[in-house]
Amino acid sequence: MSKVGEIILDKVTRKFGAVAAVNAVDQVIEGGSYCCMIGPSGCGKSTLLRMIAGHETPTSGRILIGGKDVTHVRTGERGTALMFQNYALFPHLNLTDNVAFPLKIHGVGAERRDRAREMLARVQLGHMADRMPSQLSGGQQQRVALARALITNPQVLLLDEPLSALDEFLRLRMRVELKRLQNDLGITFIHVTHTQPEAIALADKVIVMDHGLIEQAAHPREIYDRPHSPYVARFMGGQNVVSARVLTVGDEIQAEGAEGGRFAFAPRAALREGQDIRFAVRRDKIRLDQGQARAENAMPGKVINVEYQGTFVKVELATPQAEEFVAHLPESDFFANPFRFGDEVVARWQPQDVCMLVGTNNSAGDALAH
Amino acid sequence: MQSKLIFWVLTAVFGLFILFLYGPMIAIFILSFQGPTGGMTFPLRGVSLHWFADLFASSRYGDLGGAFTRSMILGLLAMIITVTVSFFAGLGFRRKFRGSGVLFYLAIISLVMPGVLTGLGIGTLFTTLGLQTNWLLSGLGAHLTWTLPFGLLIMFAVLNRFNGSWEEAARDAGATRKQVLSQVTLPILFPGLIAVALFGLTLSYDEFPRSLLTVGTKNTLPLQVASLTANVTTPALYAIGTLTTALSLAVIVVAFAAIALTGRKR
Repeated sequence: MSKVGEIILDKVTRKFGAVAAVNAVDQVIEGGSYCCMIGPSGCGKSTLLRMIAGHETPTSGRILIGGKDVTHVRTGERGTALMFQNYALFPHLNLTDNVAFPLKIHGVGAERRDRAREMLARVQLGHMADRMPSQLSGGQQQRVALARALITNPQVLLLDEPLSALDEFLRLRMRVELKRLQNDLGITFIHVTHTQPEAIALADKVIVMDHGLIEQAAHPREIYDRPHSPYVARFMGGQNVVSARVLTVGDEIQAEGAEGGRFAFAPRAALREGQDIRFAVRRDKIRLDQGQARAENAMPGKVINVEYQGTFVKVELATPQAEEFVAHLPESDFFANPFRFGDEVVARWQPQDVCMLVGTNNSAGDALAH
Repeated sequence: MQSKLIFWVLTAVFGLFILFLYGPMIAIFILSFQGPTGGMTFPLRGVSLHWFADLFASSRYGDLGGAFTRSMILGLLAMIITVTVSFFAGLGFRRKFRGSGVLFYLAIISLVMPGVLTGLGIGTLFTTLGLQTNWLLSGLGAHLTWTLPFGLLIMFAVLNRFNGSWEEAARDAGATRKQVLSQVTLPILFPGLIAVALFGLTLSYDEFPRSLLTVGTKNTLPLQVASLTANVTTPALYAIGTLTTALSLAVIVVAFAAIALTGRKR
């Protein structure tokens, strides 16, 4: 396994005064992988990115890139390139000189302009090489920023919320291009975002952060399907989080909700009787029945909102649980047997669809609070 | 109907203001070309360059050339110091260092202080220390109490539109502090620095109250002109006005050309 582009974070901590923005983070990011760091604002993801880039120095801990300790290596000399959220193109230089800037700094002679033009052509802006940045659209500026970041052949490309300044249409298009570029180049991409679909769509590895800690780091499918804690389940979305108390521990866990509902599922961690637990059930695994019949692995509720989403229908329930409870019903099922506002229903699921939430982080993980 | 009335009233007020602003200047300009037998008021008795020639030929205007030279030297020195100090001070003030607030208000106080009092203070200080007031020393210092805080304020406005991530991007490309300064910060801020330079030069060049008690025995141009108004009663005074105005215009044209030249591509 080649170590090129591999990043090792060894107990990396960054304190601002008494507050640890990043708190003893350990992580290995494989060389050549696409890694997304996600979390609400202030979770430490940007600080971590800036430390990898060398714009911040860790208070303690080590950062290794490609097997080399770069904790105190100057930015620009550690094989990384950072693409800024606002692109940070130099307003006094044309596109060619913007892209050639890192080469100029590294003492490359006149040929740097040729190489810059080649790179611009690669991001489909070859015909605009003599324009000034202010003459470009947001999407074009981003391509220039990308070209400038890639001109020095970095081992690692760091992207700080690269798509957040673009409109929805461009965002989806650039997302595809980023993924394609990463495939072509085979270098490590670390992409900071606060948009869940972006992280899930792009990443080989998603790192979910909160309060300076890594909550969970895994393949997006694992993150989405088997969230580690109530925070991850809520923040990544697509899940219902249910609170219950353990009744009996055996081959399967028997638990009881506050409202008296009974739940059973396979154990995922050591539990004891009387323990308060939370588990998650994916919204698309929930089925609804009319009426109020009680059953195991079911939750009574009242329909408070119905939204047609094209491929499925989102039905929101008010349940005895304090949290929102949502079912995503297949479109054909819903219209064969529709539900309306105010309907009394029972939401049910299969025991194997229950994901016990092992982690204790119970914060709301409000994605809008960034 | 009413809005139309308001429009005409406001237009008239604006017209009067423009007249008030430029009327005297234009009158002085015209009267400086007064014929040799003409006086300081209209009507014109012919058109000539007599009074311009008189300025250079006659000795009754005192050391006008010397006063002009001193004012120019003072202005250029004040300009260079103001640009340099404001540039670095502005960059420094971007970080909230300990005492930055106090320092800022200390700088602003010298803008608020009446200039004559500042000059009096500097003059008294020199006397107390047993030093002679001198245009290049106490004079320059007095001018800087006025141009430096002004330059700093302009620099703040200029830096308001400066995006710190440009410097970060340069560092990310491997640039050293010197390279960041010379290849990114300075060129991007250059048009703003020309504005600071322009203010430094002109504020010093026509400074009167701060000069009065600080330049010592040799006058600067504003002091010289002021003393001439007391005993000279010829249109030569207007000729001085026309010449200095022309010079100011030339400086402004050069400055705008410089801004346009560097900003053309943006």
